Amino acid sequence: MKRSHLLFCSLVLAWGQAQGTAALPTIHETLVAPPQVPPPITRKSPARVVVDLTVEEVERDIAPGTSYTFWTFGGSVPGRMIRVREGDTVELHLHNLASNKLPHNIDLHAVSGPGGGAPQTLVAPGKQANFTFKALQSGLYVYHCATAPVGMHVGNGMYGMILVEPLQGLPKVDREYYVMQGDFYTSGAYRAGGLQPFDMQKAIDEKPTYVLFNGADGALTGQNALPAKTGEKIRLFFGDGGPNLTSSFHVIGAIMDKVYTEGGTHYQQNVQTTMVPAGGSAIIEFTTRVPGKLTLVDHSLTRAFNKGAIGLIDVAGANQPEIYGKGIISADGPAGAAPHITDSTAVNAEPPGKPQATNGKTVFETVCAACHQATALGIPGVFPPLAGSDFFKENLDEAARIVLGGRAGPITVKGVTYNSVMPPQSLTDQEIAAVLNYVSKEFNDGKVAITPERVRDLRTAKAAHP
Amino acid sequence: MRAIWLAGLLLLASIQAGAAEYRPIPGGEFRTALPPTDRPTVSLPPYALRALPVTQGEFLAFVRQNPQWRRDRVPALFAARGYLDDWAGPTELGKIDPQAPVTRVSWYAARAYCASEGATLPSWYQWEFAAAADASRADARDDPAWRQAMLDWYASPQHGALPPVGSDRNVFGIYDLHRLIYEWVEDYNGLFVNSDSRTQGVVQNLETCGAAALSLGDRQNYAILMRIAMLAALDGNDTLGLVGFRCAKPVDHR
Amino acid sequence: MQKKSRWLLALSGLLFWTSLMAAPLPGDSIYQLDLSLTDMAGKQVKLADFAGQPLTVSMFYGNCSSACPVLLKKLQASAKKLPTNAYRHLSILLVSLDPANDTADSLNMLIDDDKLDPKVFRLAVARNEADTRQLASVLGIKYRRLDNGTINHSTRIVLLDAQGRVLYHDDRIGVGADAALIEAWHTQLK
Repeated sequence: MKRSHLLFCSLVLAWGQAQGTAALPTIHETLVAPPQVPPPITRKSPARVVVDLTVEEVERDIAPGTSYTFWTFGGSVPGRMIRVREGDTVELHLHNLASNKLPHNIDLHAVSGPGGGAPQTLVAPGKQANFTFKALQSGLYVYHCATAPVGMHVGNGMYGMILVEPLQGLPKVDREYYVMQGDFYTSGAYRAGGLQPFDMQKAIDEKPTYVLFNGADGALTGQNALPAKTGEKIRLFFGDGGPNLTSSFHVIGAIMDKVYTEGGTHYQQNVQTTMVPAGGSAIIEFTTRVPGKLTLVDHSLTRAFNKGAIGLIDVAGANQPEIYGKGIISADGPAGAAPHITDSTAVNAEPPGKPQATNGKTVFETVCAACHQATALGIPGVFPPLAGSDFFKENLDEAARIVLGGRAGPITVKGVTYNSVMPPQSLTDQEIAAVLNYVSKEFNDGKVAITPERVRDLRTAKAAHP
Repeated sequence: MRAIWLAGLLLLASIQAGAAEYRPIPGGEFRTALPPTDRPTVSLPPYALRALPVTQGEFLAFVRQNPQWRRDRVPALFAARGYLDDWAGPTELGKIDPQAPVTRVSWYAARAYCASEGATLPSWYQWEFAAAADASRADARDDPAWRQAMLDWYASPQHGALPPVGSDRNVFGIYDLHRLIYEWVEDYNGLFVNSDSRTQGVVQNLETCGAAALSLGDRQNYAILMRIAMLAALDGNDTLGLVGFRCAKPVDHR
Repeated sequence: MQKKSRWLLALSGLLFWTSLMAAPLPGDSIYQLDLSLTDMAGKQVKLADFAGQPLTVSMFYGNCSSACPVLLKKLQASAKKLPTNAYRHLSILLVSLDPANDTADSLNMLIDDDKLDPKVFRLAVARNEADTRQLASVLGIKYRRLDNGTINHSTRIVLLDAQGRVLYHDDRIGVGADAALIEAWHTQLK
């Protein structure tokens, strides 16, 4: 008797509280770290979706051996993806950790009203803002911090996306991933090592040190490549957080079946490269046809080659030779010699994965040989030789520096001037010493001449004087 | 009789020794990061500024003399939860360095402290003017290296206890205006409001990025903008771990 | 029977009122602020004197030609929509942001010019800039004086309960009656 009375009371209370929002069911959304996304929405009616988003200022790797202080929504770059349905009421709780150093807020491009919610959500460390808005229109929307100086807040990683699914939902696919591009500005050079500060002048000049997918050089390569199987439909929720650069987003080795341009309602079909503006997005769908690696790049290619804008989708499955054959290489001309078949995986454009062993030969074969050739003789006029190289013998320290930091501009080897670019290599001190010693011994009649300690010192010196 | 007189003299001496140092600041025409009105600069009369931020030890002495400002007695209106909560007790520092700057103090508490020194909180302009200086120049703000040094502090999270005050002296003899703490100013709740709040279509406040670009005078100086953004985010009773204060006075004309 | 119950009601009301006065103010009560004001009649009042009944507070200044008249219009238009018994309990305190220039006389002129009901509106000014800034701070009102004498300010309306705790506030600006404000008044004056 008493219990039923109590129950009645609490029901009345709940009903009374819900009156303001037409008695919507309340759902607490569980957020997940990118590249994962919350599951598709199966609801057929609107809800009040409660989202807790915590601003965290964290120090972590921006590139191997180089760290940076990121400002994040939810501890990751990009920030946790929010997934709601058109017509939902979103109750956003923005928390600013007491241990943070700065005030932050949030501007969601899905919000209709001043500042996208920014003026409602400015919170000092140790405080929380609750902001409720209605997701009126479907689409894939960027959110970001808008606190002054906004370029620094966004430049430090304060962006993410909110997906507002259309009423009928999105067509079913096999996998969904969440990738955002961003430009980063550090005082030291690319992969300079150590903890790198934000460089205000580079940001104002729009000259980024890094252009990255998901906030780190290597966030989507090596162990972190996105898995897939052949014959799957993949949906990428791709956004550009900026703060400054527009992305010419391209998937090497795939044709995009559909691109919902700028995250809007209409799609374009059979797209090769799609332009995504800073503060904009695209929903991209494509089908994996053959096994191997698909490479995500900003097709403004020095960003991919020199600044880190690269990611991989690792597609497993059986070969489909009718779709993707094997190259047959022979001597030029009709009377070719016996053809040999290349290994199809070796012609992919992505940088090789990180070698597991510190065996110099292995490192050489997996990393160096692609350009300098297995013979170490290079390609005349394009890639300089490492074998019998005066430059190499005289400048082992310099060679180590080039492996560490890359090199661009003219270089003279064995009397021939080369003018091309070598990207920095993501190798440990051990690996660099091993491969240099291997090249020294094997191709230059030299000896073991450099230690991992020496490489470490060079790395440190480079970080100090980029 | 003589003993009492002596004791009085000793007391006076100890007050003298404990008196905070205020340094004269010339003021003058000044380019501010706040939205300029009809002129590119503001005119700031001379003033005196406390050389050092108020320390934990100094604030402890103040709380002991003014028990209404103890953390267990202060009304929530004047100090939110967190007020002095790093202290071992309401009138005890515990392990905290008495020479470290006091933080976790509200604007109201900071004002009350300054009043006890016959002073007030500095205005934003007074703080900004003094903070434009480096060790050798009265206005170092256009030096990219100086800006970057200021900026680096904001970009790195705070780990562990704050160091003692008195390490970073500028040309006016004022210490620690940067790279130690944020500081309350008297007009923290007046740094940027639009001239006419009917123009809500063009929200001119810092809380929105585009508007900030419209209403701030010195958009190249990120370090100063961070200060303004922080102060703009605060309520008067907020007690943050990185927000402390110093005081200001009119110049002594004697 | 009926007489007796009315008497009891009155007694309980009195008891309630006295208990309110005797109880210490809550920690978040705005009446914790020790603030002296001069009203449009030249009378000295303490902010805490307003305790004991619901109060609506905002800030403005006499020489203000843009936002303040709009604020006053919004308050007047909204108040007119209240039923008589609620209107009778309505009490609005407007404190000047410009203590250097506003006086009892200038406030009185404003009452006349804008045809403010003196039974509802009380206009007042604090002693100095520091006291004014402190009141603005507890109300969450932002303001800044510009070189040309105008004052930039937010147009916040704050509704307090009898003990000085904030029940409602809004920063919206508009000349007409404001439905949300009227609803908040209904709740406040119940």
